Amino acid sequence: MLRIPIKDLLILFICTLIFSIQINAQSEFKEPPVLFEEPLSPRIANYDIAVELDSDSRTLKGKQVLTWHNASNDAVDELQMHLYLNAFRNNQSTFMIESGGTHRGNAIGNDGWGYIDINRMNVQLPGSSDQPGNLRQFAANPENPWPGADVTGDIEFIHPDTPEHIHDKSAIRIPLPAPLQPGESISVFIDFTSKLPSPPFARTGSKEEYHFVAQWFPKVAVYTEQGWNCHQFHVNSEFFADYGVYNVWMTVPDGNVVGATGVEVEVIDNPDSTTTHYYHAEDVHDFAWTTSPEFIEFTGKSQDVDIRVLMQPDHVDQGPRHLEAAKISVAYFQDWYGDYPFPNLTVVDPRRGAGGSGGMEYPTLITAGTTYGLPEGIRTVELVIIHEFGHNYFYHLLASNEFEESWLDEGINTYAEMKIMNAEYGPRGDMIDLLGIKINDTELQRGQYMNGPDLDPMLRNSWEYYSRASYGINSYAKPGVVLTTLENYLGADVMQKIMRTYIERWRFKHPKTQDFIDVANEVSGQNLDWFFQQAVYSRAVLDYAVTHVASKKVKEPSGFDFNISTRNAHTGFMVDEPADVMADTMDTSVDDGEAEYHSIIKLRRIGEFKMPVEINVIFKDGEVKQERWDGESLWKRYDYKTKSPAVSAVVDPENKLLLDVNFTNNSQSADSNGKGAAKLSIRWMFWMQFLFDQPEFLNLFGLFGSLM
Amino acid sequence: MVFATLKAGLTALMRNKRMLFTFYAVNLLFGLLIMLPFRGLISNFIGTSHYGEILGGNFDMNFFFDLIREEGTALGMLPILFLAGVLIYSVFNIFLSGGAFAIFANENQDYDTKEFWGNCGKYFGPFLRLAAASLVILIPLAIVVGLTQVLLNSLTEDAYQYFGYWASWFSTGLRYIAMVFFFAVFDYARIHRVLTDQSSLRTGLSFALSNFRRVMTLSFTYILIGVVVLLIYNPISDLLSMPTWFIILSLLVLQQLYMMFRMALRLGLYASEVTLYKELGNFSAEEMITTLDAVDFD
Repeated sequence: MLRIPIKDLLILFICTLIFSIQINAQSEFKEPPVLFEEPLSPRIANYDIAVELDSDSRTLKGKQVLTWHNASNDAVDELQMHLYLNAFRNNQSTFMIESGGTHRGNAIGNDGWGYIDINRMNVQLPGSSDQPGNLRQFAANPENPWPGADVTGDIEFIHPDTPEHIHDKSAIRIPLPAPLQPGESISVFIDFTSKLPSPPFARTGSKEEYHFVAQWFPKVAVYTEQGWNCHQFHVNSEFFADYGVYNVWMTVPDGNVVGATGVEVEVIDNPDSTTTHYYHAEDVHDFAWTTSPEFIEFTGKSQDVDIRVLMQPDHVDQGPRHLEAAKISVAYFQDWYGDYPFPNLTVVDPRRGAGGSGGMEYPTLITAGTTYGLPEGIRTVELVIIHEFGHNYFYHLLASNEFEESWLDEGINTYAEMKIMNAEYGPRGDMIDLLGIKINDTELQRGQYMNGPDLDPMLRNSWEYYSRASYGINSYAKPGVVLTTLENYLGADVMQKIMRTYIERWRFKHPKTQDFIDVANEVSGQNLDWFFQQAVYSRAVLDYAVTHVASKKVKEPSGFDFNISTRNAHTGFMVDEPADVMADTMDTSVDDGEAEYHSIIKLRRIGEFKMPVEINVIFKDGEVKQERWDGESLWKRYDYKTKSPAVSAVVDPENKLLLDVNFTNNSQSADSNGKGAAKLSIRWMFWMQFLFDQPEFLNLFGLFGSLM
Repeated sequence: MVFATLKAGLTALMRNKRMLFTFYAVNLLFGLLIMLPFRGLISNFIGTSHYGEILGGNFDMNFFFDLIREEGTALGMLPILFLAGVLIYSVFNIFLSGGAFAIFANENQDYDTKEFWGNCGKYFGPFLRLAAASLVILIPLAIVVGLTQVLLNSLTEDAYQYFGYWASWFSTGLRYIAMVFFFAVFDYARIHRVLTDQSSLRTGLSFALSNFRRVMTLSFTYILIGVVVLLIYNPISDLLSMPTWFIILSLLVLQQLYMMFRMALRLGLYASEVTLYKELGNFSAEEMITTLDAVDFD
């Protein structure tokens, strides 16, 4: 339980009040609205930021007051903070060393480096006699006295994950003049300058008049039971932060449209051809914003959520499509996974040439990404919006540590995305449905998973995966496949309940992997540790196969020692032993009656992953025998003595075990069926005949490449 | 003029059905040759799996990913096989075109086996040399297309995406026109050779350039007919998705009817081009020879 003493709350309140009063006195800013009467989260990291954008130089000059509450039981003697933009400061940062300079196919331009500098930092501990300052005073006159102690010179860059990256400046520690006791709060006054990378890179940056401003301010790390959890900015990682209240004043050129986390409180026209947009957000753990004079706005509502879509002019015809996808996302998530407590959602369409800011999530603000002329049948827009909005549950409401357990956000969200895509656009071609080509998101995720199912366990520090591909597989595709497999094992209703319980129980509490497993065990009423141990903590691969299907006529016993032959009523065997002795050596699935055929079915567990599987054995007379194997042993044999021979067998007949890396070997028939090979072969032959005769048609592939 | 040549081409085609079957047979042969390793790979991978039945219906992406994972290396050979196939097929087509052009250049345009194959052999060498020489034309064409692409890229670098979108279509169209033009020059150079027994790529180029509109209209008319029929073929073939041998056989028949139609278009184009060249080509009657004179069949 968190303890927040009244004294510290009072200090926090006074600081905020004085700050607000002085802001108001100078510029008549409105009081922040109250979005939630009762805080939804432990408001540990609270920010007031005033920032001015110089669009031409893509520079942000900011003043920030961070009020951080020590909710731990420790006396904290230092702060640790992220300076994420320094990942783009030079090519010696941890991010750039790990990325080789590219991220999702984007690269920073020659003069596009970005950075964040702390010009000054003061900390004000509880009980200080100094008067708290306010941001406007600092901006107007840097000589004004700052409250608290100047700790600028004490700031030290830290490299907790890769000490050899000595030039990385994405994480800092600030020793405090005196320890901050449990339950106390500290105010940190910061003057900073940020320069955005160009073009947008790894989620943030500028391109001409368009700015997507993320990871842009000094951000306090999370203090956990193990101490500060502050990692360098890695290429294979997203974020981890505490909740709080944000008041942010963004000053941009006149005529710019602004979209941001939270709700807009006020727009102030300044005399210097700029406009200040004041946004307020509660119970969020990050704040991102965007601005461009070119945005075209679409608005709508889904259930109780106001939706705003900011489109680029060249994508304006896709505005309704974006809006509709956002509405669908809100409706599905609220119906399936519980309330989205925030009043609004903003969807941003990145500018051309600014794809590096696309497909990203921030609290109440997400980015999509499209191209002009994107056919309706290619549902990347829908998929991205569903996915990014889903993050507002797993990344935002739950806020797990993405540095260390990325699957809890990306992976569970991918599972939800797969389900929603299928429910809304399925059952066939929910992702691509174009020119007769139908591909489901689920199929694509499984395909991606199969690119490297055993490279790493699903759970590990994001910077420690074998490769970027492995991070992608284990953070996105594999968890989607794992949870779909689990859903098929438990049933859709149970899985739905697990998801909903997990989200409702762990809102605003930073759940860990074990928390999800505990919920799954509790809700399902089963101990599923055996499943998660393999799926999450190991790199075991699941592959069951039917390896043998054969039937032969039962021969009459002949030779010596058959002078007292009888036919066993249960097994159908001709025996000269008591029936129960013989039955022990036979499978229990043997038929009654007059057996004419002895059929043998053999299954193998090729992978290390063990899971119960269903088996269908099909007989020539149409009978289907359903078996269930616990999947533990290396192989399993079934014997049948029946009137009709077994003609085929299939393990996991409904492809429930999506984790299976080879569906093709899941079945076998006594005789081959050449239809499939014939159909594929004649299709292949036809198109080869066509292209032999018309090789110039290959030109069209170039067109598709350039359009996408 | 173009309509007349079209009509003449189709008339000539109707009188040369055996030639059509010859061209089709070669196309089919190459299709079979490239299909066999693919079929072997697929059959071997499917084995006695139920996918043998399932894939008789609709394509299955799960199977596709299984195949990539298990047989990725072997599948990687298919593009190489395809490129080799295109090259060898082109050589065969050059061989057959000698007979086709010679027949169509005749006054009566009637198919004669000896004449056809004789001229195939007669012109194979000269046509191959023409083919090699015609590669020179690709250089200026590539420069024009490349420069246009560079210009478009610079113009659309940071322009709204619809400029880039339509620029992509434009440059694709330009590349396509360049390729069609290249093939037309080669065709008319061959026709000139058959009609005058003189190899001159320059004459083919000159003819294609001086009659650019007619030459390209003729070519694109045939291309357009082919595309329209392809667009009709495609949904019909999609309907044939039941996993039964009858349906699979029906699909095969439909596919091969379409390919035969494509061969008819190719020969129709050849015949029309010969007609057009006879009408507009810059050569004297004395230069013109009859193909029958040119080959000693005995």
